[in-house]
Amino acid sequence: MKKRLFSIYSVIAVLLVGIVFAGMSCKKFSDITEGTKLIVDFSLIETSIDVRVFDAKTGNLIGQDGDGNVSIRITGADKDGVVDATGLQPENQQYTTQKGMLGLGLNPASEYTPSQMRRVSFNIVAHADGYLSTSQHVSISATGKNFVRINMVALDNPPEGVTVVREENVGTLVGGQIEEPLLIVTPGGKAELTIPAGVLMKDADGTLLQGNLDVLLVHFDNAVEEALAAFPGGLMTNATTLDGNSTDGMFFSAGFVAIEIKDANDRQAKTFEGGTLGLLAEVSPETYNPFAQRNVAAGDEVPFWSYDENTGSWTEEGNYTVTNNAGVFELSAEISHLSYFNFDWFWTEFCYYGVDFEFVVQGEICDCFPLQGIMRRQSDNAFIAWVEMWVCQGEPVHTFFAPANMPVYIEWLDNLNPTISVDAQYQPTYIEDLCEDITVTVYLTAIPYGTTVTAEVEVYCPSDPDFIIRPNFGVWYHKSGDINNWRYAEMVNGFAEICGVELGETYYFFAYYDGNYYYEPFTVTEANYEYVGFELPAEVCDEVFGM
Amino acid sequence: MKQIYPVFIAGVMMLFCGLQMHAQEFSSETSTPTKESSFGMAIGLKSSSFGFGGEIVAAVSPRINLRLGATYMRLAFAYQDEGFALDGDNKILLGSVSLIADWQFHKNAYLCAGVLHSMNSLTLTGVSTRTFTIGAITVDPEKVGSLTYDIKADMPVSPYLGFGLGRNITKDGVVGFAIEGGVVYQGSPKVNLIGTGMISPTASEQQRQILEDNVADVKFYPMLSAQLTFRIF
Repeated sequence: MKKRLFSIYSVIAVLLVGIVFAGMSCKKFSDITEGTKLIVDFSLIETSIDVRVFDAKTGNLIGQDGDGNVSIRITGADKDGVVDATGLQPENQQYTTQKGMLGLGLNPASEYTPSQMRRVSFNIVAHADGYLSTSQHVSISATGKNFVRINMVALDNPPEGVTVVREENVGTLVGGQIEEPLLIVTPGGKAELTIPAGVLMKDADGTLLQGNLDVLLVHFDNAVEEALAAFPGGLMTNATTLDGNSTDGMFFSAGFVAIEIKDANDRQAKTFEGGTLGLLAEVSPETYNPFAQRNVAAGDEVPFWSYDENTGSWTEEGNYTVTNNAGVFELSAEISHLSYFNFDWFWTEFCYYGVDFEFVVQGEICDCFPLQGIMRRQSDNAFIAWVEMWVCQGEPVHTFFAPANMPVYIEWLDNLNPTISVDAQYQPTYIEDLCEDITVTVYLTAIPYGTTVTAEVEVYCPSDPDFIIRPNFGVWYHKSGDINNWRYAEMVNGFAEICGVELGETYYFFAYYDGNYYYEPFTVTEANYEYVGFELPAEVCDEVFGM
Repeated sequence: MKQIYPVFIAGVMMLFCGLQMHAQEFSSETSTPTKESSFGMAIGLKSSSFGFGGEIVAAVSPRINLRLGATYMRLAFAYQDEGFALDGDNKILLGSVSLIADWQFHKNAYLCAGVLHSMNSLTLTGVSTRTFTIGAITVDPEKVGSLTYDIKADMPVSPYLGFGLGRNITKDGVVGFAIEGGVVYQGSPKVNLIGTGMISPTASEQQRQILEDNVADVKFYPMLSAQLTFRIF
């Protein structure tokens, strides 16, 4: 009996164990990940630089109507660290704006990761047909989002304070030498260029110019804000001083002159022999001498600088003395090469990492938003720079490359976000020293406006459907029929939140990619959009995602 | 750890009750000694599919033994996950605290049942093996990030049913030996998923749920053990 019982129990037990092992063997560990996907937050670019190029007179983005683009070249110490918004780097660092906009970024490699100990600096040099070439010096000391605004002067429609004269088919060059003297004067007599007879003119390759000349002379009045805001190279810039040192700093401008001379063969004069050209520029009595801490006076010494439009950097040529000619202050200089020239005091007290701004938003606000302003000196209310900050609730906004020991104020603009206004007591915001180790607090108020729209995006490449990409990019957009009021939104990890959208309205969205752009209308009819499971074209996968 | 305490407390109480009961029997036995005592106690060394450990065995009647045991073992091994394209060092933790009753229905065979707190977990941590080159940017695996998923039993206390050959406490001698097989019902395992770097969105709740569904059928865990015991009285 006992034996039989034993046998029954044994069989039951063995069966139980067998069933369990059989069940487990059906589910191998290798099957654990079946059905899952590798989802990637495609945030390659940790530091972005959104560039917008405006016509200084009209305030419109150059080419916004598809009528021309701006050629952008990156120069300077860290030019190799600059890539486009998708991580691509064209040959010779030559980019082209689309609708006046260009998305750039820094290579996230450690040697180009900006920090307080490692600033990354470069120049953005802009050329466009019919416009005076210009540049903007950029210095970044922390990762994050950056905005650069460049104003360009249209030669046939300059902004206030900029006068342009074009003399065509003047003078005669024989054997490279001009036979008779020439005098070119801008409208209003703000600047004069004298070309004495006998001067030999050569282009950059050393070839002699021949025949008649076309002469362009442009003068920027430093007392007019529109002119200062379009100052080629910007006022916060990099310059090489007489002792050969290259340094960053800020110009206190006493005037700017651009000269261009071409012969009948379109050769551009670069150097002169057998004499020098005479440049005479009127100096506004409102010009502030920062070292004397008063307005300009006769006898003041003013450094004279030339501009390399290819690199966007300035070189000190010498010092000239302000004279008083019948009540008009003037500066005159002798020049032996052609370039842009300016009479400026160079303020070398600056910091690469200045004050932090803290923005406190009263009321409900969605996501981050750009806040734009104009920074001016307190001493003479002169324009210093455009300010564009990317404001995220609770996060400080850093200041890079700021003048030290110079009281300034920022007048905030609200054109980039209809859902935000700056509280009156902070308009403008005064800062005694941008290089102090302080936090500047600015209170904002959220304005109820429109609807907050969210969008979620997941895409994949046909070569690997189990590899899901959640994109990161910035997008400019404007309401249909309101192209001058661009707003900005950001998609992070495949998710975007856009404030102040009017449901039922059509918006145009613009995104830049590898020299191409997408500018498409979209009528917003709901508050939440989900684009999950989108297959990307194979060529996009190859170029952008390396798949 | 809180989950272990009830098992320990229950075990200690049961052993204590068993000792008390036997003490009464033993005192009566001292007055009229018999050859076969129903009480005995042993300690054992155990190797099992829950790791290595030991047990305290109490024979509370001629056919019933109570066992309180614990086991533990860590294993590390290289693992490659083709699904996630991950490489990494991974760990298996095996461990249990158990309270089991044996019914010695035959001199060399027994059925056993009890409860067990399983500490078993499978932790897989890896970094991506993918390197991306996009234009001027090279994204190395470290920036791509890491993914960790661990799978462990969800039930704090699991029932156990098994069958053994041999004896967990020898009847007459000192050394006993038993081998045992059985199953532990652990319920569907729970999965935790943690991602860092660019692949951190992989650790979404949706993905975690997929992983959990994939292992949902693994509700039983096999118990295989061999035990050497030493009767101490």
